[in-house]
Amino acid sequence: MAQVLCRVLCELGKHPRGCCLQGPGAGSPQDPDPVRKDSPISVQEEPGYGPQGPPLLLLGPSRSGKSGLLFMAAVLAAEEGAGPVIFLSRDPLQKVPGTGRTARDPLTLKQIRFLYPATPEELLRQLSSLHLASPSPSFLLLDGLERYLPPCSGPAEGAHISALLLDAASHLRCGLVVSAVPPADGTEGPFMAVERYFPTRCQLYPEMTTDVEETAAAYNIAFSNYLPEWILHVQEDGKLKIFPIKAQRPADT
Amino acid sequence: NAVDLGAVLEQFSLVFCRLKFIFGPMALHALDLVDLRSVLHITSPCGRSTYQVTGSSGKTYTCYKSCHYCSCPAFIFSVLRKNDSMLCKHILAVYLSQAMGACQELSVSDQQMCDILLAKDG
Ligand SMILES: [Zn+2]
Repeated sequence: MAQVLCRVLCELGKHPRGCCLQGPGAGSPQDPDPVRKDSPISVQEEPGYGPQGPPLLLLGPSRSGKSGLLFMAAVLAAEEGAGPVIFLSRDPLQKVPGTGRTARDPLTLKQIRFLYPATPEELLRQLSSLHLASPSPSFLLLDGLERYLPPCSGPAEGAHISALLLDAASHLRCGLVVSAVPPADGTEGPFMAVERYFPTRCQLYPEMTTDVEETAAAYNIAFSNYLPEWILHVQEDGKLKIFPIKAQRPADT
Repeated sequence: NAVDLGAVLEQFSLVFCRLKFIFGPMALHALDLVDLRSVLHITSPCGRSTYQVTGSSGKTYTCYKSCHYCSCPAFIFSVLRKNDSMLCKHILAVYLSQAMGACQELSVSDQQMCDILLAKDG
């Protein structure tokens, strides 16, 4: 399983009111533990990878909270202080989310370098020069890979970006999380190639059956085994709340 | 200890048969590339490294170190589109050259490494 995302889910799950991804002060800064010992998901290292686990592809429809999850992963990685965190996206985050978690140390945000390559060519150029960065990045996040892979592009583009991401992360020995909206019509086109480079995937898909507050959309969160383990509520204001699938209520540990 | 030449040759033909069995005619093409010393192992001072293979047409293709990727048309067609092959002859040649110690070595600057990783047609 993908360690960093598990930690994000644990973080979200342990705040009974959900974690506010906008505006400061929603977290619990007095809590000294980044990951609760009794957290519902066990976070363990996988052999062959660093503490951040294998590269992860986070798939889900648009506005399903992927950017928020990625941003929290960036904050958690930055808090470890192992080096700068690179956050790549074609467009700036609409609201730079001042998470409750960030309030612990305002300097944490300064560890996150936001890069906004406008075209696939520019993205490739950034990725091919990551070894020049000093100090060396400790984590790599790419939000919205599909925005670099228009339907007119082919598997070559998808493969090149994916392979260069993996090669850079492997050289830097850093964590890698990529989010994307999978194509609606099957697996043709550039995405066919992307998925073969990321065997570890996490999928968000709409949850239809549970009661959801009117303003929130609900998504199942499933790792590579396709069994959903969590429900994610995305409120209209971008707030994320998470519920373990059995209890259907906040994981107030 | 004297080397048992017969045993070595037997081993070698066994390996060769397996290569041909798994990769078909691609094994022969890849061995040709190894023979021609077409595989270049490129490193830069920061420790980044990659491979460049000169194909039979004289064009050079970039193969990454940590995952299967080659910038050649066959990789896009047979591996990515058709999915009827795991790799192209260039990647196989990289594996074989590594195993046989037949890579040519080249040092470049960290800056030059960026352009090589970009794998623009060269
Ligand atoms: Zn090739």
